[in-house]
Amino acid sequence: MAEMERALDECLSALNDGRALQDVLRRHAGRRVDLISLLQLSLDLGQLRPPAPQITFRLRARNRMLARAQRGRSLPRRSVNLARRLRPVLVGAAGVAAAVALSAGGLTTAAAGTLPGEPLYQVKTAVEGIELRLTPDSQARAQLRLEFAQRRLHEAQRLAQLGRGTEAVRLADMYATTVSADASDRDVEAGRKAADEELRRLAGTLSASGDRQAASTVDRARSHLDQAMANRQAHHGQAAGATGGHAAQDGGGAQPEGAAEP
Amino acid sequence: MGALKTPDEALLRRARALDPGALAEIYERYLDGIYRYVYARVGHQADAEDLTEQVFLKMVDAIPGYRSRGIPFASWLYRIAHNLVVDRYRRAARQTLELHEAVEDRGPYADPHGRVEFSEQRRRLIEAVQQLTPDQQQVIRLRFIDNLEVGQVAGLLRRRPGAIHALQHRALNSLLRLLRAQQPAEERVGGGRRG
Repeated sequence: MAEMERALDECLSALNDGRALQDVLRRHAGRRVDLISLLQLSLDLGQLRPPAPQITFRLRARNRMLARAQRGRSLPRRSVNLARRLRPVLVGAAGVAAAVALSAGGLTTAAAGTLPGEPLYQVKTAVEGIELRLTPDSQARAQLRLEFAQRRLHEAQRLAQLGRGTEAVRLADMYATTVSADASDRDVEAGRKAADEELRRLAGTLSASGDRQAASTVDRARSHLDQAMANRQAHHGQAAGATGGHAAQDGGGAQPEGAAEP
Repeated sequence: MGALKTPDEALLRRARALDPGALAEIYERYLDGIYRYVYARVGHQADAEDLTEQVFLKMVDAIPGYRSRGIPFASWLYRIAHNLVVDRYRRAARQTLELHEAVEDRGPYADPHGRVEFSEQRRRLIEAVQQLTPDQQQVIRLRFIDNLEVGQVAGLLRRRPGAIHALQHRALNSLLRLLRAQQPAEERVGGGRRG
């Protein structure tokens, strides 16, 4: 390592560890001015750091992470393997049980109109998760996801009317992501128009409530969605042309690839 | 600067067993850094929150099989964040955000004081960073904006620490030259304090 690199590294380490710089600078007296300039610059770059997360998000994400860990702990590895082998049987049995529970479920009815942050909201999303897991057909599952995304958008509308713009934007973004990923080729055009209209209405509500920045974020989500759907339509058009009109049906074109390597 | 410290082996061992206390400790240690890393690349709060949450959910799924193999834990965690950001852009058919967009575009959630303080000095700094080579920009962002240690940056970029040391030195020097060339003589860094 060159002498100046080493000196800079020593200074950065001292800064990092909260130690006084004087000793390090004294050892490199001939380079003191240059080192101070570089150190000042490294601190200036810290000003470009984005804001810290909000406390509500911090708590929500922490709880979800710990809930996921709890589920992981309750299924030891041997049980996971067994569960995989028994999955078809379990799905059938759970389907019957869930159907009974869902049809008789006063709790789920009570949860239906809840909003994020309310006690029963998690019941609503948990039931949705169960319904998804119990739907083996991929097209039916995609349809269900769209239906749930629609619910998120209605919740976003209600949140916007309550002045909770931040959460409304988050739900609108979830909606846009799901719609762009799950719309099948047949209903791309219809889905695009409906989604555009819904998001336009939400932006209008946010704007009318005075939250113009949230409205512009929703508008941005609209244009991203519009672009994604247009790309998708073009992709399906090409696929239909190449296969004589029998385009792939599973709506998988916009599905993400495995995200994390580790 | 207070860069992120690597969790010790005992903590990681408990985390691998999905011990809630250990996971919560790791979460508290890395949440701000991961959130800011994601925010600086996606440009608004809702996306940053969504992806950050996914990073920690994926961490829980993957940590029972985590083995260090000489790669710092932070590098492993930031790699998850990196992949999720890339994946989100692929889905949305968007290009990766430039630094200026990420910093300026704080969406509806920006701290108004922060926006007021988005001074000429910061604008010049961003412009100068954008003139660096892609490698230099990456190291500058990871070291001084994301606040990662050299070893963590090396693990994340799969390069040797020595290469990161050299790159950060060259990048800071280039940045200094660019800023000095932009500024009037009396404001120059090293000559008198800016701003």
